[in-house]
Amino acid sequence: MMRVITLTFLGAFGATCVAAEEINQSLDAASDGTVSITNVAGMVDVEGWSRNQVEITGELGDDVDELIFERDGDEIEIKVKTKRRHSRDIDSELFIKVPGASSLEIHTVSADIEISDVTGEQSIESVSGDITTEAHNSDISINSVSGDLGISGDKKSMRSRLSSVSGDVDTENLSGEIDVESVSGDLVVVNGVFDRAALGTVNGDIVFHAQLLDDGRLDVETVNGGVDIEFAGDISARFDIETFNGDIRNCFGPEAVRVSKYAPGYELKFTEGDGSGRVTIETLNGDLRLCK
Amino acid sequence: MGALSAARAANSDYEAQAVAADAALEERAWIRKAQTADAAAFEALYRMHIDKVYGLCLRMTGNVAEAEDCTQDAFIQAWSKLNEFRGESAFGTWLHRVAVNTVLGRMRKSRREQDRIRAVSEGSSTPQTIGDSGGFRDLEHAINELPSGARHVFVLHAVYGYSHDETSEMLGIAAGTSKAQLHRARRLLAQQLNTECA
Amino acid sequence: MNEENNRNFDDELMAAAAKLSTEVTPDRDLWPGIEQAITQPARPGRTAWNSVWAQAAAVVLLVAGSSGVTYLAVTEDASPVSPVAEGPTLVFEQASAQFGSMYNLGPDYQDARRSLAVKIDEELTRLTPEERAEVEKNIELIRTAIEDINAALAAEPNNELLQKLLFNTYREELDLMLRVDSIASAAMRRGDI
Repeated sequence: MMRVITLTFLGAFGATCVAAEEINQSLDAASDGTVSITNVAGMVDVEGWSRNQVEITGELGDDVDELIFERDGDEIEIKVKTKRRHSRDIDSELFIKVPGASSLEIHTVSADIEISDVTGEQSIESVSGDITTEAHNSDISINSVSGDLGISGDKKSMRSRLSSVSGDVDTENLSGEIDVESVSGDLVVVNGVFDRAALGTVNGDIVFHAQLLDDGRLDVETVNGGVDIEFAGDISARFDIETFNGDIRNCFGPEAVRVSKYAPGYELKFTEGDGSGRVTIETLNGDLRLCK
Repeated sequence: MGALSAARAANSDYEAQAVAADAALEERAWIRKAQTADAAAFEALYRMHIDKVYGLCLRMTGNVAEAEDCTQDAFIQAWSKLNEFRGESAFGTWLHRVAVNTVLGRMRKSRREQDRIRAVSEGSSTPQTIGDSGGFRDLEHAINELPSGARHVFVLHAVYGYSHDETSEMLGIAAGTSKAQLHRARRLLAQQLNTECA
Repeated sequence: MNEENNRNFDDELMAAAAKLSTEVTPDRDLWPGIEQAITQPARPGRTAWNSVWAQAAAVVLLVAGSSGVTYLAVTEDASPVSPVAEGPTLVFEQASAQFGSMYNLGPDYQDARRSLAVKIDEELTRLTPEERAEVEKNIELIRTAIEDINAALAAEPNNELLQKLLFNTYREELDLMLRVDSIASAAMRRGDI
């Protein structure tokens, strides 16, 4: 049934909030439930294990009010509660073991996040903390403002939605469907096999070195970023490429043509293989390299 | 104010009954028309029941933006299922059930995908206190803070007066779970209302 | 607390709960969103219409009605052939003084943008100065990009690529504000800061 543990580091009448130190707590958990974690600063390290238990070890900052650790049905909530963001010592390091098939929901501000061996869905957000995780055939949604994202998959088909404002996004071996957006961060998608990939930046560079399946679709759009595309394996697609000021280097052969005699702007349209897939690339100033 | 509240406010029982009967007749006519895909008739039903549905969504979700979305979804659902309404229960009760299902469905969905919309909306929209909560001025706020499972049971049972059987059926949980969640809700509320870290 | 106190508290709590109003009038009329969903059978009502994001999306649809360019931007699966806007009819709103006033995204977009801009200012105050600077720098980047595109558009008003990029860059700005707002408020709220 339900168990609730609330560790409150308060005097009986809440007058003094005393320092908290080492933690070591565990709760029974569903084998494939949801674990939600909130920790403003410090770090969150999550690892999947074979036990149906969630275990937290680590340290809480001196100015932390309390650690909430409770279970509600299939959900476990872990929350480091702090009254003020700018308190001096709210950095808390949490090492959390969860059942391997758990789904994760993690929110941090500046805390870095590292996840390994967890196979359920992941929904992760941080402001400035870096996020490093593995994807295993469940959908992931990962967003940051300035934190960098590093994601490695195992080539099983799933959906990835990734975004940052200025953080770089690096992925390898993701597969299925991917949607990555950033304003000034660079996007790097390496290896993996995609049905659908949409990559967009304002100023960040875009690198796509992966396979696009037959009938697949790749959409790339950037204002000022450079674009480097190298298809792994066979590619069969219609290409529709436009740039206003950028240069186009095309290893497939066909040359870009000027859109108008009197104005800048190049376009490049051609078909490779039987043309079942579709690739569109649009830039204002970015240079473009397209190869296989 | 909805037709039922208007009825409740009426002075004599007779008057109240007459108003309620009128409202019920009118409602039945609108339902029949709406079942023929008449959107204007459905709008009339919306106007009659909006406060009830929105109230439930607001209590269940504890969040204005989410409650607005939920209310809209619930009416959209109701529209598509309108032909399933056969008049076994009051239309308002039927709408309540649709709304509860919508809340649960939306929660499942938002758990699956990171729901940007909801997160954005939540930032600025803690509902202000509404209605008289006696000496428990912070009760509404405290209810909003409950974990969703406990909140749903507390709202349906304690605020809306549904029995444990009805509550558990609406939420798709065991009656025992409903009782346990109620117990938990009370305990958490007691904690919140009595002890606050200054 | 002894047991009797507990029981009294419980009774009072339940009595207070039963007295809470069960009917609440929403702050705004929710009917238009419902009507839109139920009278458009192609989109069986599953969408939430009233969030800020939906407002922004609605703007996209709204503008789509009036221009071939935005038609391109919102229906990505459609063929690339689309009617070319006749002269500078697609009028985006001014991002800064330097940017000409030929383009205007319409009042709904501006409302959504304004309300988001206010919200984001609030959210930004909760971030550290460095984080705030980071976000502001990126908003600035987008605005510079918008100006760049507009400068190009001034010379090439009928260029579809530019019009599309401009449109999408505006969307990106809105999206950035939404994302930052979402991320910041989610973590802060959850941390009860």
